[in-house]
Amino acid sequence: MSSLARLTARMDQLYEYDREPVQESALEPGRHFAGLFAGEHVAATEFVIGAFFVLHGVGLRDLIFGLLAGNFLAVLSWTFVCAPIATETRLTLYWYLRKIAGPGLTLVYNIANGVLYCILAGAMIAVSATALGPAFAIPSPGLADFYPTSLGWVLLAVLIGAVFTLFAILGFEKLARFGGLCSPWIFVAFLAGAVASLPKLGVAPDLSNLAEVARSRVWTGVATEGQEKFTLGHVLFFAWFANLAMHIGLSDMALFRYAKHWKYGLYSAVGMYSGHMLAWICSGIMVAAIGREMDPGRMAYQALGVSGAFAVFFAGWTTANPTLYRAGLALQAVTGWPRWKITLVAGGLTTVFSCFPAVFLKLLDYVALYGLVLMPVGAIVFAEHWLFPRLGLPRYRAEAEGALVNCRAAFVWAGTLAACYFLPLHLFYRWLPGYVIALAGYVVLGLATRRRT
Amino acid sequence: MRKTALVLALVSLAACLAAPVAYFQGSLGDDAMKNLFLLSSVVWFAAASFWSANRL
Repeated sequence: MSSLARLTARMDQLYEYDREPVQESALEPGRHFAGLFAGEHVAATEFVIGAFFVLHGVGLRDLIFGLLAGNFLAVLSWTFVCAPIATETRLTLYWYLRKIAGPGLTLVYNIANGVLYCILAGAMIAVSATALGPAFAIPSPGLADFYPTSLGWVLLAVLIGAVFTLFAILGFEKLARFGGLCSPWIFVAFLAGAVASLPKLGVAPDLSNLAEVARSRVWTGVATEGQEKFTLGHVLFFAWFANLAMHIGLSDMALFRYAKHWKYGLYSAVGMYSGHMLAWICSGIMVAAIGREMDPGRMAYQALGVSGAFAVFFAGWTTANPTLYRAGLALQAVTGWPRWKITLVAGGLTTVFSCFPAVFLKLLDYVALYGLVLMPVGAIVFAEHWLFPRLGLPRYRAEAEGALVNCRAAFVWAGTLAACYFLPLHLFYRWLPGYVIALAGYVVLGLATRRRT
Repeated sequence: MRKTALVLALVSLAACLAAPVAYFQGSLGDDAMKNLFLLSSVVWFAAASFWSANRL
C-alpha cells in the first residue's frame, strides 16, 4: 500500500461518521439554517472588513449598492450552485469530491483547507489581541506593518493563541454553545457601537444630517494614504466572494445536505445582510469615529468601553474556535494523531500566523486568495454533477476506476490557479474568469478523454 | 423559570441597544451609557446561559 493510499484510508476513517447520505428524518427546518447563517457571519473579521472599506475610500453610494448587489449574488450562489448539489447528493463535499477527484486529490484539498483555516484563525487571534492590547499598554500594529511590531505584541498573540487552543482542546462543544450565546450579543454590540459613535461624528440627534455626515466623514470616497482606492466593483465582488469557498467552492454542502429543499439556500440572506452588510457598515462608522485608524479593539473600546473590547475579544474567540477545530480535522488525516494533539499543532501554527499583523491588516487580499485557491474544486464538482450528464459524459470515473488521483481534475485545479495568477485583473476579479476557465477546462478534458476511450 | 430567563435575556439585549440610543439622543452620558451596556451584557449572558442550559 503506497503512503498516499495509507493517508487517504486514514482520512476516510476520520470522516466515516458522515459517509452515508443524510436520511429524510435528519433534515432540518428552515429556521435552523437562518440561525446558523446569522451566527456564523457576524465574526471578528467583520470589525476589520467594514473598517477597511472606509480606509480604501469607498463612497457611500458604492458601498450601499455594492453590498446590496454583492450579497445578493452570494445568496444566489448558495441557492443555485451549492444547495441544489447538496440536496440532491445529501453528501458533504469531502465524500462527493472523493468520488469525483479521487481520495488523493481530496487529501490535497483537505491540507490546503486546513492551512488556510489556520491563517484565518490567526487573523481572529490578532483581532482579539487588538482588544486586549490597550490593557497591557501594547500598541496595535500600523497599517503598513507586516512583521511583528514588538515583543509585547508577540507575547500577547502567543498568550491568546495558547488560551484559544487550550479551550479548543478541552471542550469544543461547550465553547460552541458559548459562541451561540455570544452571536446575538456581538451583533447588538456592532449596532450599539455604531450608534454610540454617531455623536462623535457630528450626527444630529434627529438624524437630519446623517447622509451628509456619512458622505463627508465616513465613506468619503478618498482613500487613506497608502491604501488603494476601492470602487463599486471592488465592494460588489468582495461581498460576493467573501465566502467563495463556502458557496461556489461548495464546502457548505456539509450544511445544506440537511436542507429539505434547495431553496433553503435563500436563508443565507439572513447572515449576509446582517453580518456582511449591517456589521460592515457599523464597523465603518466606528473606524471613522476614531480617525480612520485600523485598530478593531480601540474602535470598539472608544464606542462601548470595556464591553466593546470584550465584544471584539469574544468575536475572535468564538470564531477562531470552530476554525481551529476544522483546521485540526482537516490536518488530522495527514498525521493520524489524536484530536488533542493535532489541535495543539494547528493551534501552534495558528498562533505563529497571528504574530504577524499582516494576517489581519491584509485580510481583504487573504480572503480573496482563500476563495480563489479552493474555487476550482467547486467548478470541477459543478461540471461533473450538472454538465457531464447533459453531455453524455460518465460521472465518477475516478471512483469507478479506483484511481487515487483524477489527473484531469488535478490538472484543471493547478492550471486554473496558474491562469488566475497571470490574469491582468485586480485580485478581487480574478476568480470569476478563473471559474469559467475551470468549468470549460474540465469539460473539455472530459470530452477529450471520452473520445480516446 | 426558563421563560422568565428568556424574557430577561431579551430585555437585557434590548437594553444593550437602548443605552447607546439614549446616549445619541443626549439623555444619557458617555460613562452611564457604557456602564448600562456592560450591566445589560452581564445580565444577557447570565439569563441566556440559564435559558440555554435548561433547554439542553
